[in-house]
Amino acid sequence: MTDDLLERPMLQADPLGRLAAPDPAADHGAITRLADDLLPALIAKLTASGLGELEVRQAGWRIRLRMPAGRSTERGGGERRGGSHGRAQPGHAGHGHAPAAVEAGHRDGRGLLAVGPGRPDVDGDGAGERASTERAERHRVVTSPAVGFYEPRRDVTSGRRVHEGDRLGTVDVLGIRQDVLAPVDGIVGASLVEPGEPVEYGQELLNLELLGEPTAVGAAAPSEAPPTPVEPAGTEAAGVEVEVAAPPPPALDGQTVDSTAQAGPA
Amino acid sequence: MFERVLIANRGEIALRVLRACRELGIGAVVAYSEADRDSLAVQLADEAICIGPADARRSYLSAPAIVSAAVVTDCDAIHPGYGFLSEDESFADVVRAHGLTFIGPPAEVLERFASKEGTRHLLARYGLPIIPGSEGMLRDEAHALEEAERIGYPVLIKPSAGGGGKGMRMVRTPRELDGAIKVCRSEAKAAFGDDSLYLEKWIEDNRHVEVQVAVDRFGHGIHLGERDCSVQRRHQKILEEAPTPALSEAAREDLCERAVRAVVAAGYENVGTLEFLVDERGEFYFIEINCRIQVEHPVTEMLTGIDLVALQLRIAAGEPLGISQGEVELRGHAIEFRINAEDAAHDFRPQAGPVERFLAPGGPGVRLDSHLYSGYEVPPYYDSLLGKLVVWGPDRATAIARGEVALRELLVEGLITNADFHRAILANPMFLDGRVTTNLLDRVGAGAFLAAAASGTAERQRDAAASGTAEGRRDAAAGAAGGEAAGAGRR
Repeated sequence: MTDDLLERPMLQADPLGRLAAPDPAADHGAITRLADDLLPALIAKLTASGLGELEVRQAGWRIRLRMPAGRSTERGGGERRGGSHGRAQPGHAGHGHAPAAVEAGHRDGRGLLAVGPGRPDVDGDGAGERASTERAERHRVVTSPAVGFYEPRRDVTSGRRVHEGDRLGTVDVLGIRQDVLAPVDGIVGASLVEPGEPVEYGQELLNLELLGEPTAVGAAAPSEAPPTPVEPAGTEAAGVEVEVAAPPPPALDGQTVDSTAQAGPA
Repeated sequence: MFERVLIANRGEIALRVLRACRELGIGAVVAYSEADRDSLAVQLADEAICIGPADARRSYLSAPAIVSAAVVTDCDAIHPGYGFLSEDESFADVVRAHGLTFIGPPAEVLERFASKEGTRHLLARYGLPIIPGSEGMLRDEAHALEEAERIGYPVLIKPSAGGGGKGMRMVRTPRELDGAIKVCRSEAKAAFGDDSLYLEKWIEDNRHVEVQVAVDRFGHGIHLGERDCSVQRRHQKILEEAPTPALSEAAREDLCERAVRAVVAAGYENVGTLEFLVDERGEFYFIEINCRIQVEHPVTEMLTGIDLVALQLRIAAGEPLGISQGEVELRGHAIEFRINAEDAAHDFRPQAGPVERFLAPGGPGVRLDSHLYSGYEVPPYYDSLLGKLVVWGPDRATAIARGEVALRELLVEGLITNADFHRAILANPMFLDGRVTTNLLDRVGAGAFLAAAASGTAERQRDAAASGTAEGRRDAAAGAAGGEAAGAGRR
């Protein structure tokens, strides 16, 4: 039942429940952060901004996101199959399997929107529109992996720093507990469901405030990554360089290249 | 009676069950997958709960997800609809283990009738004729060849589990049998997780006639007449009607009475359907039982005025039938057209996408069970059934005429449907004569059917202009269609 969670690369959470840090070794931390942390935020940014193309360079990696022509001002939630509408492009081929992982993460039908695993926006529902707006730029909503009764972990309280793959709580499905895992590194924010309450599949459980969010699109600015217990090697203090390529002519219609430019959600 | 029922299905049947619950004053909770968030049943339900992603294995086929949804929404029963988990005895068992009622036969009854082969022999003991077939399951190729020799070719290879034509092959020679066994085994394994096969004598020009029964917990059983489902394409029913044109009234009565006697004796419970093959001489053979509500149940409802889903709920709640056989009156003639999102001109390719405009036909004796609405987006993950158009008339000719009018009125913009294909069937002389056999469509070819209907229309218009009589028009249409169809059939 937890196979949806297994699709993503997961970091270790130790069995005693102590919140573990990601493996600081090698590029993996950076790649994971790029794929699962930065990318969703960028996607949300791109979707909301009405821009045509977005490229980010960080620690030797480069990611370019491109909206297909005519899509950049459409509402983000109306997409049925988001996977083909742009994907991460690793800039350097020399890093073996890692760039493929970045790509694969967005080819498996989860599409190009920053939402939790339980609520893929490829289905095009209203929640996706919400997620693709400003809120999603800084937050990630953790959703329920199953139908049952929700029980948050008592020590996962607001303000707590968690890592991707950490167990944040459980959903009791007929007496069998299914883990609610952190989809990304972040800081625990508002809880949206009371302990013991029944939840449906995909229901929003709590907010995670993202770490290392990209700043204004269009104005190349360094990211202000909040202090983290263990910073993956190679990403520390790495500036995020955002390149904005010329958007496709029909879509922009005089819009300024500005992070505040948003495709207004319906 | 139940307080709240969880509807664990989708599409038109979720809506149908919802309506029945409403009528009986039962609360209804619709369980849906993420792909069905915008479905009509979800919109109309008292409450709806998302049970999983679009992939049916993790939503409509997930017993834990469904039972958990029933528990968290305080339901006391689960209606499985048809397909998915509707005949799964272990699901019924899990439902009961959690203190809920499965709306259908109890788990042990489902188990008793789970094996098609076992059921044939069980009901044969209670007086139903069965098609000569293999003794038990086929052990290996040598056993299959031996049994086929004994029964006599052609034979039909059938999987013990499942339905819908998967893992099924007709073979005419030992060599064909040898090759087909492996294919059938792997198909059956993939579709049902069970690769046991058996053989049946193939009856060339057969008709599919089924008897609707209802049996309560106290062993009172009634039949509600039969339905003819001979209009099939690749073992898929596309049009059903009642009464069957294949049998005389006396023969129909005999069939139905024997069917209900046998299932009552064998300990069946709740509504169910016994399927029979009828050969050219009118002899009938029991083939299988469906322990669920069927897609084509409205045909029977039109004839009897009895709500079969309500009956299902009452029986599952432990109530007595409350109707005797003498009170079941079969009136007139009904035809059901399965409206599918498929392109008949391109090998019935399934369609998905938005319905731009939708208009339901109406008038006396016209019923449409459909979950469509303008703006609805048909998801690509499930079957292509958009709804069922059911027409009733005091006689077959009136029902056909009403069907023709209603099919023409039905408007589904944005998707290609098989409505024109149904009209082609209505124009076919074999159908008009009530002589359609289950192999007809596949033998003649769907293309020939459509072409015949098209040329029939042209001729009808010409002829109508000349003669100006309804009689002349019909004859012209039948003649033109007949020539084409028969010609193609000889190939």
